[in-house]
Amino acid sequence: MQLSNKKCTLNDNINNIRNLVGTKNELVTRNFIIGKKNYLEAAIIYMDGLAKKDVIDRDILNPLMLHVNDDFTLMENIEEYIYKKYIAVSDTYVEIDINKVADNIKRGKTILIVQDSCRFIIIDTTGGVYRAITEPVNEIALRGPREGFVENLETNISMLRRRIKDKNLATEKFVLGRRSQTDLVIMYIDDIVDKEYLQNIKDKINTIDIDSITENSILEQCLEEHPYSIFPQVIGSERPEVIESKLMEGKIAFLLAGTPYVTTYPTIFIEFFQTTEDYLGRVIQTFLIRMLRMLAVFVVISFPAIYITLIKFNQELIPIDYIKSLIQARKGISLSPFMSLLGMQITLELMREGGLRMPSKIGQTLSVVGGIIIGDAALKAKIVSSSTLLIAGISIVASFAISYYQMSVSIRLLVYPMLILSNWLGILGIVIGWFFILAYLCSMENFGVPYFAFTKSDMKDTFIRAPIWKMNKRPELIPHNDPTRQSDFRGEKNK
Amino acid sequence: MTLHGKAILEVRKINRAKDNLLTTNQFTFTLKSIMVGIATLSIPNTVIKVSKQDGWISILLGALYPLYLVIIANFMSKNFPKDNILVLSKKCFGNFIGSILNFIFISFFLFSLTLEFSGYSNVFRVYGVSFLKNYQVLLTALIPISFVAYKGIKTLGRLNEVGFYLTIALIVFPIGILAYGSFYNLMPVFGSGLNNVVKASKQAVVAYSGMEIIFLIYPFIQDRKKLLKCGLLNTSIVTFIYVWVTIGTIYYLGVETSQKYLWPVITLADSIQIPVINSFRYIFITLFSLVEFKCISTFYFAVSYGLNQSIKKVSAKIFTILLYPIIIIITMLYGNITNTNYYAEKLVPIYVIFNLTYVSIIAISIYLKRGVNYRKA
Repeated sequence: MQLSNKKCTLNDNINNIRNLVGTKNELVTRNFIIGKKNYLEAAIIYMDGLAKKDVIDRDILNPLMLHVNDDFTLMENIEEYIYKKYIAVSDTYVEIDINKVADNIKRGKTILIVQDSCRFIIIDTTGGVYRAITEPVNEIALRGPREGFVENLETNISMLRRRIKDKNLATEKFVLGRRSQTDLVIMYIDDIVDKEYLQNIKDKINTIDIDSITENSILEQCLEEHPYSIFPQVIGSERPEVIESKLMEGKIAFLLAGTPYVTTYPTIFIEFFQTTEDYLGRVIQTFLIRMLRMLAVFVVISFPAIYITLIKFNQELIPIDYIKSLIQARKGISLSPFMSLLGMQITLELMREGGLRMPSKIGQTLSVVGGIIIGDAALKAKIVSSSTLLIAGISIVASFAISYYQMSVSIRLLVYPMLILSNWLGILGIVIGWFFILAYLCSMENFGVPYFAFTKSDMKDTFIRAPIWKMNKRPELIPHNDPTRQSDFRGEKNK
Repeated sequence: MTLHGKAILEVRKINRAKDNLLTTNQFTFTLKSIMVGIATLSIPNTVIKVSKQDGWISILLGALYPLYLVIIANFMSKNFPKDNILVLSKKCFGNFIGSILNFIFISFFLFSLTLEFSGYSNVFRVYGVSFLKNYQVLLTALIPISFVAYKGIKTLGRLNEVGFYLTIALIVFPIGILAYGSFYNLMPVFGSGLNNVVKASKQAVVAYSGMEIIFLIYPFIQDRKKLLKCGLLNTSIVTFIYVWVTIGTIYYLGVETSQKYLWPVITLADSIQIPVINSFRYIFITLFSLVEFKCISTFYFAVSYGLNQSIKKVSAKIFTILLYPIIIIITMLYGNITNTNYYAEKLVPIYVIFNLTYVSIIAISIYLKRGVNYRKA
């Protein structure tokens, strides 16, 4: 005998769900029968490719189809009884809202519907194939852990949860993108993060109305306050331990489904010059390396400009031995130093950009043609002097010492206005350029957090990196509620 | 805490974040920035004319002027933490006279700004860019400076702090001269007579002008209790720099030779020799440009902010733009360095006397009428 109660028929339910998910989707519906005597009609629905089929077969269909002997005639709450007794999947619950049911199907869950019921059993069968956890190729640390984030959001969250077992580690979920409906999870440590800042960020996220968010950088552009600034305003990482330490400073991590790149807010300028390795190595080494990076910034921005100034306006400052060889090298070259330096810089930029996108096999040709042939030919063709070529080369090489690629590109772009300024105003142009860069950096803010500012207490982790046990306070520039990172456990202050 | 109390606290916190406030360090270095300007390069000459090898003692004495201003500012800040001197002056002298005095007070900043700027252009064209005309230097250099003034106090505060750390090397550079000079140049101490030392200290006061900005910006400090500390710290930093360069110059050049130079302090850079460049003065003056730019920016901010406080209808940003051509024109009028110095020697002492009386009268009237008229007004 078939139990009948014409409130929500099985077919209606299936059709409703199909309409909500979208009729053009590859939705799989499987009808079956539960029980022997007074049996129930039932169906499961899942999206092909997103759910794990072996789990469905083994833990849902197998027990329900083959092992049910109960009589459901007078039973109430049949759904709960069924999932409690027969479904061997841990994350299972009953849902009434059909819209949420549709959302869950899109995220790889399986829905079990029993005949004449308006309630749906949602079973977590999320699966599908993802990239395995590997070491991020773009961020390498010799001594750090070898794991990196992947495209799967749950895996990424779990990686962070595994590292931070604090009960205050909070996650909040947003769904962004009208069409892509991408999951965004923000993570923070509840009693460290500044509540006002958090609210600001959340408000800002809620205003986003876009059809799809493909990558964290898209989100970054939706949120940032200075869209036309040359400097990157949000830093991120593929390494969980980096994100972990940023969370500990009171920052908020943005994990977006489908991208292994996790960004943190707020970001300040100096972070772009810090790497994981800095914290793992020796204090003195780190100091020297950081100084080297700062020197690299200076070299990239001002070396070509200073060269032009000295050659064009202030020859009297060059010692006599140097000037002799400079004149020798420049003999017969008709292009002005400015033009040849500019040309060389642009050629090198072309090679860099080309090398970045090329497959590595073609890259070799590029380096041969670029490095050897063009360099040598440019000299012999009397287009540039060897000293100009040297300056352009140094400036490019120095830019590679800046650890973060986007920042490296920004810094390199500053060369051009500097070159023009110095060609026009000499050393005054360089001064004006530098002062403007500093002033501009100082004027930038992200949601009220200054982008570039020095505070005395933060100096422990700016140019130098103090021993870990001395960094008792969290950075002052990052808003937070709990300034104390650790106690003075080595008792240095009382000594 | 009651729910209501919590709500008030929340609101306050939000307001605090939005306010334009300076940290103690930023405040101190803003004061330092405005004081240390072009005068630093020639300060030994202003004092050794009268007090010879004891010039540095005169400079120590001259520090009494900023010290006095700090104490007065601290007193005002305690009584009226939210009102700057322009508001207090109107309360004290009435609207009309108050406004006139305010304008004179603000005009002092404009005057100092143009003096600084003219001096900078002159010195930089001698040591750095001899191929540029005066107007070329002025027109271009003022662009980034006005950008800072345009962006307001927060940017200025941060820049001054960052700038201090970046140019700290300038104070350290002249250590090299210790190998070349002679201590006999500084002997005998008090040899020029106490009278001359005091007389020269009047000249030294000129170099300390700029501290008056504290009356405009003390409402911006985050922690009001530290105002006095900031002021004292700043005064000691500036005094240290001045005394150090004066002693250095006398030690290195001697009293006679020093006066032959327009900017004797630059010669201290000679002590450093690096093989890739012939003259270290060039690098010194380049780095010093950053100090100078900070100084002019701070003056610029003081003028545009002061005008904005007097005429509230026009925003400080618009004043910044309007002031740009005015500053260029006034600066062009000074002409060469001798003329600039001439105007400085004539006008700055008058301004200093005006500032002293203006500030003192307001302070005294606050003291006398404490809590009676002011609070109501």
